[in-house]
Amino acid sequence: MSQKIPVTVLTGFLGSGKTTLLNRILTEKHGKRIAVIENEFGEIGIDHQLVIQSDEEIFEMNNGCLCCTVRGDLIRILGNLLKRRDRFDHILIETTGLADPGPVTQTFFMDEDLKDNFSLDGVVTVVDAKHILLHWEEAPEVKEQVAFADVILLNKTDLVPAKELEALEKRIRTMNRLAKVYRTERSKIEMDKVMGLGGFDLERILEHEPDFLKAASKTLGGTETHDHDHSHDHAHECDKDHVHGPECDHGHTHECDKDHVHGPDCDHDHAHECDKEHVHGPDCDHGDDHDHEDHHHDESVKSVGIQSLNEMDGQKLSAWISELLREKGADIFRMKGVLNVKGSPNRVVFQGVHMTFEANSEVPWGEQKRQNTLVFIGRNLDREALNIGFKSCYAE
Amino acid sequence: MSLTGLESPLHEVLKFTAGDSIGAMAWSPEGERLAVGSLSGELIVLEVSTQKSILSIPEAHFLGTQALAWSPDGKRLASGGCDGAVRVWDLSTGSSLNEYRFKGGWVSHLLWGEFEKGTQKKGYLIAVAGKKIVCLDDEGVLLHSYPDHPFGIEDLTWRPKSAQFSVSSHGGISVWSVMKSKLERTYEWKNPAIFHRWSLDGQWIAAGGQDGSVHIWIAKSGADFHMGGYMRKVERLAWHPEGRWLATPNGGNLAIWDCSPPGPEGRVPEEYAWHEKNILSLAYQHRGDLLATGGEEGNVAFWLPGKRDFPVGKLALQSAVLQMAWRPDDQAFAVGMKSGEIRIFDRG
Repeated sequence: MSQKIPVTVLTGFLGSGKTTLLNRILTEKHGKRIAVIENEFGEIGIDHQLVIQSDEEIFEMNNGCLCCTVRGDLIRILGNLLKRRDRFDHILIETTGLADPGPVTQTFFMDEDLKDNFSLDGVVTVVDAKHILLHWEEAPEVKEQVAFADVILLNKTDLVPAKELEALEKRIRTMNRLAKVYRTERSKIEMDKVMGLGGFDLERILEHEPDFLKAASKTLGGTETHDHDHSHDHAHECDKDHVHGPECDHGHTHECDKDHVHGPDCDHDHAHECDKEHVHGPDCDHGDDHDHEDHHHDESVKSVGIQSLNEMDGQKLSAWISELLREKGADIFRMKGVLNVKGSPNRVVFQGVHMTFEANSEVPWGEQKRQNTLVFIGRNLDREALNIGFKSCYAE
Repeated sequence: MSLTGLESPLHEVLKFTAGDSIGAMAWSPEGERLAVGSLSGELIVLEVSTQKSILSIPEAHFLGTQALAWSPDGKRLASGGCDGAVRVWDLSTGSSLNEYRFKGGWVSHLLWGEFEKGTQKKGYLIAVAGKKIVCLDDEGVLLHSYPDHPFGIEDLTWRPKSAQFSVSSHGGISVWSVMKSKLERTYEWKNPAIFHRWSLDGQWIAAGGQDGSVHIWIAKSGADFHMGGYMRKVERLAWHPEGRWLATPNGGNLAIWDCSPPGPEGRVPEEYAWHEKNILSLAYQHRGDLLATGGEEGNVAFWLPGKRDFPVGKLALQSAVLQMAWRPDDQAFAVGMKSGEIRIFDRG
C-alpha cells in the first residue's frame, strides 16, 4: 500500500499573514510537489503548478447533527486528485479567515477514500499578534483556530511590545497546550516547522510542558477551584431543530463486532450514535447559566491533560471515549492521546476531532516507559469529570 | 439484438494509452468513435475501425479533461475540464469553435441533447461547474444560465422522455427545464446525493449517498424509500433497462435491489461477492440484461442480476477501472482506467 499523502491545513484570521506564509511555502526550494486548495478569496501571488480555488462548502453529514460537518468541495477535489496517476507529495489547504477548522479536519476522518489516502499532517494557525485581541471576543472562530492548531505562528511580533507578546502567548497556551508556538515576523519560518510534522509526538511535546500535566493530575484530588457543574440535561436554547429522530439513519454509526480497543484492527472511527435527543453543536446557545466561564479572564476554551502510569482496560476505555464523544463531542475540538493498554505490546495512539476519531497501535513501546498521556482541547471542559472517567478505565 | 450472455468470448479491438487517468469517456451516437478525456488534460477521439486517433489535443483543459458530450448528429464534441472551460470542437476541422468559461470551478458534467422548439429541432448543451449550471447552443454560445445551486453539484443527467435534466447535490435532486431557466421540481434528501439515475421509463429516481445509503423516489408521487447499511459511500448505480433491477456497489460487493411492485423497501437485496476491492464503475446494457462492473483491483465482471449469482464473464485488466460504457448497439464495451489505458472489447 502506498504512503498516505500528508495534508496541512492553514488557518488564520483575516490579515494575519496566512497568504504570506502560503507564498513562502510555495517559493521555498523544498523539492516537494504541493497541490494547494485555496479559498475562493485566495490570492496566491505566484504561478504555481496546481492551485485549485474552491468555495468552502460545508454540510452536515446527517439530519441536523451539527458536529458531523464536512467540506463537500474537498471530498470532490481530493477524490479527483486521488484518481490521477500523477501523485502529489503534499496537500495544502488554506481556509478563509472566518473558517471554523472543524469541518476541514473532520473531512479526513469522515470520507473513506480520504481517510485511506491522506493523513492530517497538521493544522497551522497564523495569529496576528497586534490585532488578535480585537477579534478575540466577537469572533469565536479565532479561538477555534487557536484551539485546533498543531502549530501557531505568533506573527507580526515586530509590531507588539515584548510584555504584551508574553501575555498573549501565555493566554494562547492556556487554550492550547499541545501546539508549538513560534514567534514570527512577516510569517518567516523554516518549512520543516510547519510541514512534514509527521503526525505528533505527544510525549515530546509535553516534555516542554511538565507543569501542565502535573497540574492536571493534581485536580484529581479536587483542587480545581471553579467548579462548573453544568449537566446538559436542563433546557438549552438551541435555535436549530436538530433532534435526531427515529428515521435518522446514520451510516456511520459505530458498529464493530470486534472486541475492541479502538486500536490496530478497528477500521471505524465514528463514536457517534444518534439515538440521543440532542447533540450540542458549536452553535448551540446554552443560555446564561452556561456562560459564567466567559466572565473569567480566560477562557471557555482550554486544554485538559491527563497523565498516569496505570494500565488501562481497553474495553472500558473504548466505551468511555465513545460515551464522552457522544455527549461532549461538540465541545471537544481536538483530543490526542498515547495510551498504555493492558495486553497490547504497542503504544495505542489516537487523535480525534469533535465526534470522530481514529486510533492505531503500530509502534511498540520498546524501551520507553509505559504510561498514559491524554490531552483534550475544547470548550467548557470539565476537568474533574474527565479525570474521574479516565480513572474508571484502569485495568483490574 | 443484444447480448444475452457471454457464451461467445470478447475480443479486444482497440487499446490506447493516454497521459494520465481517464477522466471521461463517451461513445459517439453512431458508435464508431470513442471520445476520451484524461486528467492530464488530453482530448482524444478514437476511431474503432481504423484503430487510430482522429483528434488529439494534448492539453484541451489545463489540470484535466473530465466531461465530454457528443452533439446528437455526431459532428461535434463538447469537452469540459478543471480550467473551468467548455469547448465545442468541430470534428471535420479538428478545431475548437467556441469556448464558454465559468468564473472559477471545474466543469464536471456535460449533456448535449436535441429538442423540438416550435417546428424545429435544436441542440442544447448543458454544462455544470461547482454550483453553476448553464445552457449553451450547438456552437457553445450561452443561451441561458440557471440560478446558483445551494450546494456544489455532484451529478447531472437527463430526465427520460422529457425536455428536462436533473442535478443532484447535498439536499437532494432538482429537475430543470432545458429550454428555459425554470425549476420543475425537487426531490429532497438531507444527505449528499453524489450520483443519481432515472429508470429508463422515467418512473423511478435512485440516488447514491455520501453517507453509505441509497435513496429512491417514485418520480410522480415523490414517495421515497431509503436503503442504508452500505459499507461506504455509493458513488455509482445503474438501472436495468426495464427498471426492475437497481444495481449498486456495496464496497466490493454488488447489491441488487428488486424494484418490482411494491418497491424495494423492506426487501433484502441480492448481494454478489467477486471483486477484490471496491467497485468503481458499473454499466447496464442499453437494451440487454448484461451488467458490467469494474473494480479498483483492475477486474471487470459481467453479470446477469436476478438470474445468476456469479459473473458470467470476466476480464483482468490490472488497473483500477474508473469508466465503462457499452457501445450504443450493446455489442461492444469500452473501459477507461487509472493507468490511462482505454480498451475496447467486441463480441466480433
